[in-house]
Amino acid sequence: MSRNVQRLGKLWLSLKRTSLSSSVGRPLLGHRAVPSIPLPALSQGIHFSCNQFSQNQDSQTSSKSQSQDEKRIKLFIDPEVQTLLKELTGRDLKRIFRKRKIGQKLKEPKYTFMTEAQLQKAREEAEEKADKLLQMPPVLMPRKTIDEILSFDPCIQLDEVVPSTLIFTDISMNIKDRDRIIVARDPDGTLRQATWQERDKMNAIYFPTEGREFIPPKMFTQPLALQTVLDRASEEDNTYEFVLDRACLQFEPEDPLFINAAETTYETIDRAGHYDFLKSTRHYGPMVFYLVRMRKMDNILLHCIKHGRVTTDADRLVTLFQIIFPECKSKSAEKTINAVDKIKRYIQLDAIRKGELELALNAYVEEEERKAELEEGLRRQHAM
Amino acid sequence: MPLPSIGGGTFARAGGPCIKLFLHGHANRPFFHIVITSKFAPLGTHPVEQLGTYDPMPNTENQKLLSLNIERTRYWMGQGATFSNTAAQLLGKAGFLPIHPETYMKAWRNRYKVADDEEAKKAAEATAESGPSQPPSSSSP
Repeated sequence: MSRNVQRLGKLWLSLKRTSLSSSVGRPLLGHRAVPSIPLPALSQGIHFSCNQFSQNQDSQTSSKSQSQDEKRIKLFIDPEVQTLLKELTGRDLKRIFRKRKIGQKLKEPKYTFMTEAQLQKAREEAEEKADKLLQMPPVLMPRKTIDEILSFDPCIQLDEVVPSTLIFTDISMNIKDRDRIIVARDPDGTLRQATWQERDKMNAIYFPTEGREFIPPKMFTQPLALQTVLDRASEEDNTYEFVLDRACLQFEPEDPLFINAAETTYETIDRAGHYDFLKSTRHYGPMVFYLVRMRKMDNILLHCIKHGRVTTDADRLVTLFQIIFPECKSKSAEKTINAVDKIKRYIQLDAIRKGELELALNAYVEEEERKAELEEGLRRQHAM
Repeated sequence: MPLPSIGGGTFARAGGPCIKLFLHGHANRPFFHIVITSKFAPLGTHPVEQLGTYDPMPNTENQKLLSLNIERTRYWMGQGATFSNTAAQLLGKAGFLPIHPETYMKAWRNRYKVADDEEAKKAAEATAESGPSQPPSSSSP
């Protein structure tokens, strides 16, 4: 046998981590000269915590703008920002607890007699439930690709006649999906951590989540499909809420597909001006955060001013802008500043649609003055 | 009816626990459960516990899926469980165990055969080309 080996002289063995097909017929080394590649220790090799794929790692991005964007996205969990977003979302309990056609069985309404104390308790419970329903899906940086090689063993190339990748999943109980060990052995002998696509598929096979489709819906994989759905959005259908809820159900928040779906929805809402479709839902906060972060705040600001929500929503929007862009020009040193003055400062120094915003704000101020005069007049009349 | 994955089988007197591949599936469609059974138990016996699955037929993305409850497997290894040949080979490829020497042997033999076939084909082509013009030369160097 060894004589034959020497005679053939090309017992091909690819020492480069390439796919098997490209290594056929490439004589690199004789059989005996294959260097031994050290295998990882049995217990340490694959018992590897996947925590490094979480968002807590420092970014290694090269461009400055990307790291700035990352810093702004990290501001989402800032307590001030969270408070502002929650206040902007609103708490219309009628809308939060409305009947939704999501395939759940309808329950008959129960009517009971209650004392004042019981009623108060019931109200508190409803508020708590509303808080839960309004919990915002987190805004995170898109997850980085997994690119880790655990071991390379070219000597097992072609151990099966028709080579294929072997995906190994650890199905121990009580492990989170993102911590589960999922590795892949390629036909060329590489043992590597599975990619995010492979991980998602394996978690879906062995630990399916209810409501999460195995094959992602076309509206998330085909960009035209999503646009078609969003273009025929209507208030009765709650289209935007449906799309965003479905995305939350299907993907993890760091999944680039989720981020893409959410951002496309926010852009469509911005173009159509349908901001109030998402009011009192859990998606309003992330939407506002996205628009402010991308410097597209002016449309929604105009919308708020036109609807008279100056001292409330518009003021909060400008405050949010000043937190996310601390280098902005309109940040004033005075601690207490009138809402209207603050917005005026923003319009003069940082706004993009200056003209329309100024007109709207002036219209609002005049309207308020007229209302104040009218009230003063009525008050004097009644006093007399 | 004893349920394999939560226990229900028993160990035979001789043999001890062994982690094997248990064939399920249908005609022309094998599917394996990775189970812990008694070493010399007959093939169709109920296993003590199911530790995982293995699908030998590749899917649409040319992947073979192997799953293993590592926690429970390590427990049984601590209880002295051994691995069958195929199970050890499979788990060696997966990275849980060191690569089995038979994997290296199989791979070497397959590569040798492919190289041998290529050489034979090249020799045949050479003789075919030189056939019409010259008498066939000796193929051995």
